[in-house]
Amino acid sequence: MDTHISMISDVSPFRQLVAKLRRLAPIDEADEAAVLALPHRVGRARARDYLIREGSKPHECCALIDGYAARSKLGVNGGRQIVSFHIPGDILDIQHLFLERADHNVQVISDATLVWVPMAAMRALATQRPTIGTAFWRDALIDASIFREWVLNVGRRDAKTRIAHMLCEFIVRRAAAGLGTAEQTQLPFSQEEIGDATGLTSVHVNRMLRELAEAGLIVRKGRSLEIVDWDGFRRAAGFDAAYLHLAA
Amino acid sequence: MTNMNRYFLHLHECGTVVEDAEGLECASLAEARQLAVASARDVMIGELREGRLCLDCHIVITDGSATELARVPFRDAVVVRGR
Repeated sequence: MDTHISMISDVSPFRQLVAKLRRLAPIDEADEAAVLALPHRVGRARARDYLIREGSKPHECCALIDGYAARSKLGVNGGRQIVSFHIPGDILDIQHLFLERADHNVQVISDATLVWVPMAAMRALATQRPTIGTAFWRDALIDASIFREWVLNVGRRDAKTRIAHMLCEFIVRRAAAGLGTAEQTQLPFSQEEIGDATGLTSVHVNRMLRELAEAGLIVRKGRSLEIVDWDGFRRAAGFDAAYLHLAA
Repeated sequence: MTNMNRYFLHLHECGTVVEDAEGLECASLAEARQLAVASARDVMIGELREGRLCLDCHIVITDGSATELARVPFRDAVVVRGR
């Protein structure tokens, strides 16, 4: 899909978003120019800040420039279920282009920089530039594929496989976005966040991470977690990246 | 706003200790104890799915200076009926 040389500067707030759109659909120079011309503001957020609250009516669409984010829902008992993690280039609320009210929370899990675009301008981009519209479609469909995989993960995999699978997905998505290979990845999650994404308590997560470390697959240094045997780790997770459709 | 403290939940199971280096923020020791009970049950669920269960394991709750504040035995986290 890489059919032209991008004219985007390294410091453009849209650099990561354009790179993602190019992975999703064969956008051309005019498409890129239309993205660069979007009205926008750049904002920063601190780890744990909420970007979108369930029940709100967002008027702006945001994409991650750097840092990481998570979508989540809360149970009536206050328990948080993280339903997806997000990396630079991801549009965090593409569904609000066509759905008025937020049906979940979006939170950053690390300090982050974001670019915010008025919803109407993003909607116009999607309708006036058909290839970008296709990229948005594919993004939403791949999101749905990832959610299906997460249902399988939480419903049918044992605790260790579940954690390993969730981490594999994150590593593969980061690599697809050009953010480092598996062995170079330092995972940004706390035990609590891994637990909230896998339906486990942080004590159980800690125990399973220890087993993965004892098997020589990962190394833990304080809060950071590094993969040392990627092939072994993928096998332990039973990970097949087909559901990511190469572009995520 | 509630004053949050960090509590560390260390899992002691059959001679090994899984140290908690991260901890969790809780409003009180009572809340940390509730989390420890939920954690014990969660670990036991994982064990039961593998076809085994040890009720002698326990979770030790400490503060940031490693002072033991409470101990939650697995046996006390569940009501067991039958023989």
